[in-house]
Amino acid sequence: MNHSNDISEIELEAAEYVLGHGSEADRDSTTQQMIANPELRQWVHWWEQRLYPLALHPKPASPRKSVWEALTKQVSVDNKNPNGNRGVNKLWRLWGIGASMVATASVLLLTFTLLGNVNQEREMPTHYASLESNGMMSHIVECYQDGRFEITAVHPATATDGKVLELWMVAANTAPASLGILPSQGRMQKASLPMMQNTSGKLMLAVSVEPAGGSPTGQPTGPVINSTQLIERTSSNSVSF
Amino acid sequence: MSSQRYTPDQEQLVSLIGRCSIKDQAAFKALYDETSPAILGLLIRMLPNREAAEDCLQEAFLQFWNNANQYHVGKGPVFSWMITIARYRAIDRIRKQRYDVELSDAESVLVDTADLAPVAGTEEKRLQACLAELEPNTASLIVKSYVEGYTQQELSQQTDTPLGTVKSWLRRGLAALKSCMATSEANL
Repeated sequence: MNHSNDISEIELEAAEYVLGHGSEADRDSTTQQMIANPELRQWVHWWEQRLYPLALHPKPASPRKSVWEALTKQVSVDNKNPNGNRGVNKLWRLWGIGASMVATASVLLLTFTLLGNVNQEREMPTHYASLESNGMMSHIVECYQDGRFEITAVHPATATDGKVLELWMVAANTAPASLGILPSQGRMQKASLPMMQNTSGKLMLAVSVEPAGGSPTGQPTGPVINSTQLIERTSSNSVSF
Repeated sequence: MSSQRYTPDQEQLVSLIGRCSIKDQAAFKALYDETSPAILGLLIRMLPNREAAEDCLQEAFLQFWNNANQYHVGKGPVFSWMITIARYRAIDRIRKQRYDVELSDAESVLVDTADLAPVAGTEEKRLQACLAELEPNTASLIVKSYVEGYTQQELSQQTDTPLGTVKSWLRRGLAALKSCMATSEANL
């Protein structure tokens, strides 16, 4: 197949930047341009996404233990001093600016729970889901064998005008069951989730906007702003460490 | 970690990054265990020795930890985001320190794209199919640049090809690659 030989200067500059061509000064110049030039940012992002599979080909190599040990110390220091050395380079900051990608709410399978200390044994959830808002993960929902479930705020969305966001579980042919108001920070744990044990079909989570204190009727009364499937963890998507 | 190529599990990595954003150190450990061998494998190809590669790996992971809250799915696959950060750090190091690269002959520079490991995902298949449509030397220059971080000048020296010719090959190759990838995606 013959393909076009046309490529604009901006597309070429972006590709060469991603490939790593050019001197340090050239790269600094492109980095500076990206701050003010969204088209250049978009093309850099385009090439990053298209070429990254090449990074999967080199033979993996296990780092020495000393690397993790050093990282552990740095992370520990960083946690004690969250405004300390962040080691952010210019390009990284551009991720914050972001190539303009429109994120949609999506189902994200969450593979295991990891709250706690490094290397600590922990119970594995049986079901997972993540909720998104404006392209960011807002909450993680994890359900356990005994019916307990936990909701963890990551980048929590908030409702306006004194309203709250309420989480619902929805199963086929069953009225939605409230899982409570989404926490605006931290982690919320609930004791039971009876629908999990009585339903074999697909389980969905939904978020509705409700008056302060939650739905007055026990059923969603406001607009549903998000929904996602609660996914069962299988052995193929679990990992050990 | 086995010597087999790494196949990222996007959903797993999204969950780990999400947990890193709320400063879950166990998630960070799991992310490290899962991805560090693949990232180090690339960095070893780019940097002159293992020590430099491990230093770069450490810096990259610290950056993942500090900035995990800036990742969202709209930025594309998590591993792409991680690799981009690690590669750019490696490229910064290479450019700053001006490592002398010595290769025994021009042949060793060229990567035969037919020898690349079997592809797994759609993105990889698409990229590999499009690279296969390029002139072999041009495809090799693109792969070599990405995987080992060479400048055009270095590629020129190592292939004993005039810089202008290398630039011309790369320009045509990137144009064709862009066109092929865009066409392939449009036909999905």
